[in-house]
Amino acid sequence: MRRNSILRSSVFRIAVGSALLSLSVLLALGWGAYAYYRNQLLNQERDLIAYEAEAAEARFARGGIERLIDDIAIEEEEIWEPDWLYQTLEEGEFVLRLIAGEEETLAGYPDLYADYDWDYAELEHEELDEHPVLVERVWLDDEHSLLVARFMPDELFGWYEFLVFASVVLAFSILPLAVVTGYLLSHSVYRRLSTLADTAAAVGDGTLETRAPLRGNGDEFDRLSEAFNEMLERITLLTRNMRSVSVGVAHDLKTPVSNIDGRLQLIERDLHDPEAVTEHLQRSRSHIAALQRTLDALLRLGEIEAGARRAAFTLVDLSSLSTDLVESFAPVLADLDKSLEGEIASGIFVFGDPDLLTQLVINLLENVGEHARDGAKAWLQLQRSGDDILLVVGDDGPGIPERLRDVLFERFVQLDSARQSSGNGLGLSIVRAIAELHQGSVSLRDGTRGAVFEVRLPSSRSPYSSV
Amino acid sequence: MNILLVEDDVETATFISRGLRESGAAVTHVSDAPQGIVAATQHEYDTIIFDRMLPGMDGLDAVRVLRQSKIETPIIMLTALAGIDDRVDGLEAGADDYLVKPFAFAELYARIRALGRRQPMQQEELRLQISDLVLDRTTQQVTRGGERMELMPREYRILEFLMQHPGQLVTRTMLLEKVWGYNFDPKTSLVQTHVSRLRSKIDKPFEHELIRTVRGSGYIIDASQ
Repeated sequence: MRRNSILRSSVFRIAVGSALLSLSVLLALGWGAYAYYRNQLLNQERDLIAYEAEAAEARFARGGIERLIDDIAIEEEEIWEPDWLYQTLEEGEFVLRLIAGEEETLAGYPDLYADYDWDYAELEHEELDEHPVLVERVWLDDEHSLLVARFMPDELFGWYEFLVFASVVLAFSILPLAVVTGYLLSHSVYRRLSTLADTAAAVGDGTLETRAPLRGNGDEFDRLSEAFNEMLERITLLTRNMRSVSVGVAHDLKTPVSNIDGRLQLIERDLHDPEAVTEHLQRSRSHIAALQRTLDALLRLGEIEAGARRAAFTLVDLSSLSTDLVESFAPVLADLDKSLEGEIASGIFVFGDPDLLTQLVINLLENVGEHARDGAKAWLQLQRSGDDILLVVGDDGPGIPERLRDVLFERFVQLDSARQSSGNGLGLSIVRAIAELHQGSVSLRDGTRGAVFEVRLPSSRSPYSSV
Repeated sequence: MNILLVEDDVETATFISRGLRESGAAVTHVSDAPQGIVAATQHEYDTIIFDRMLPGMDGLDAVRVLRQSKIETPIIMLTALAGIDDRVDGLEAGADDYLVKPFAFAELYARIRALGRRQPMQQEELRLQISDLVLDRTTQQVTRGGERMELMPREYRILEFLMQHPGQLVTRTMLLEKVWGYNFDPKTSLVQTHVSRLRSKIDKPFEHELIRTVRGSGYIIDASQ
């Protein structure tokens, strides 16, 4: 089973494949070099033969056929004995055969044949017949022709045999070697990966705390494991968040519901007292209103995070939108004993959803209304910052407690943990969701006395500016 | 007033019918869309209240059918869907107003009256007058007893809207929608603040107060004098 999976593993296949590839490259190189060497050598031999043939022709022209026969004859014998060939071989001389007509040997070695003008032939000889020769046939006149041959060089055969031998050895040794290497390689990769697979399986079974072990050498497997662990960390965090969101939802719904229930019981008790009943009814309705706001905010948050609003994006004049909001909210904050001033650059446009951008600014302004100290000075600033647009809503106190800075934008985080304020802890989550929907971000400025929120949005060209 | 109510939820239907009858309106109640379409085409109503989530047929489609068959009766859609697009969808289908559940009866009633009044006289009045308060829409100037009032743009538009509906309840949500164009309810007392500033300008210095607060709902501008 396990063995099977190794044979099927891609590492194994790659290892064997690359071994085969390098083997074939090696053989191709060897044989290519041999072919080149052989070609060079044979050309040299051909030149020698052609030169000898020309010399023979010249002699024939000067002294006729007898002169040539005398030249070819060894120790007065025109027809060579087979034994003499050894000597020719050793001295690197030519093997010759002078022919009259079709077949009659006038001089030289009678068993030398050539079917073409240039030919490779096997010399017919009891002991040397495996030794091929290179033959040229030249016609001296209509009657006589001369065959000039040289033994093919010995080195060529040495190399040829060596190459055949090497090819066979390589083919038979590299293949098993590749299989073994591939097996070992894939085995180690398999082991490293299987720890990851085990971790994933454990997490899948619900043990979210499991992490992939690291070897600490920083190789690619360690990097993979690290990325994997980071992902698990994030998932764990999200799951935890989801739990706290569910708890938050339940809590936020439960509180007003139990308040309403309480009021209903009081109404039952105070039925005889219309004034008290009116009071209970009004309180109940304000609890219901709070409940409704929470539900609306949750639905809105879901709607934003689903990203469906992006289809309806248009070019929004953020400058006039902000000016309008400052105008609307300055009196509201003034009634809460806080001042609001706008410092708004003109002609700033974003590609976005005007309703949601309005809500983003309103949520930040409401945050000021709820949490800034009495007499606080608040401001809304809109300006370009490089390629971005920077929208800042800030106040001068009392600011955000240190322990809340990191979780401020999570759902159901409230500045007072007792949940007594009118907020539902969703306002800033909505701000963040809207900013992110617009490819932007929101952050809390560090080192300020008050709470200063910075929203960064990608800017869009104004429809009036020239391109 | 003759009102057709198309609503499948018994509780909601009872709540609305009772409220409307107590206000002196005649209510015909049907509980699904086909019946609603039949009723709307056979009788003349002043207003139709159409629930969006009806068994078997989307209220949106029903409204579209009515509009295509040239029924021009004002329609208010009721729905539990509070998404931004849902509202736009409702208005595009041909509804005149869109109200998200749950709602206060006063809110619904105020909207019915606003629709009922708007219908017969579509032409814009250039001069609105209530008692000694005069709003001139060409110059955008407001005078009371001949004395010129300096209003902020928002205050002017609130007053304009109130004066277009004299003697009728105008709810805070209606003002948010019509004056600010917001489709959601800010937590803060945005409307209250601006209305109270408006009142301090046009009412406070005078003996007779024209704008009256209806507790928990909205405002009425007095038409009696």
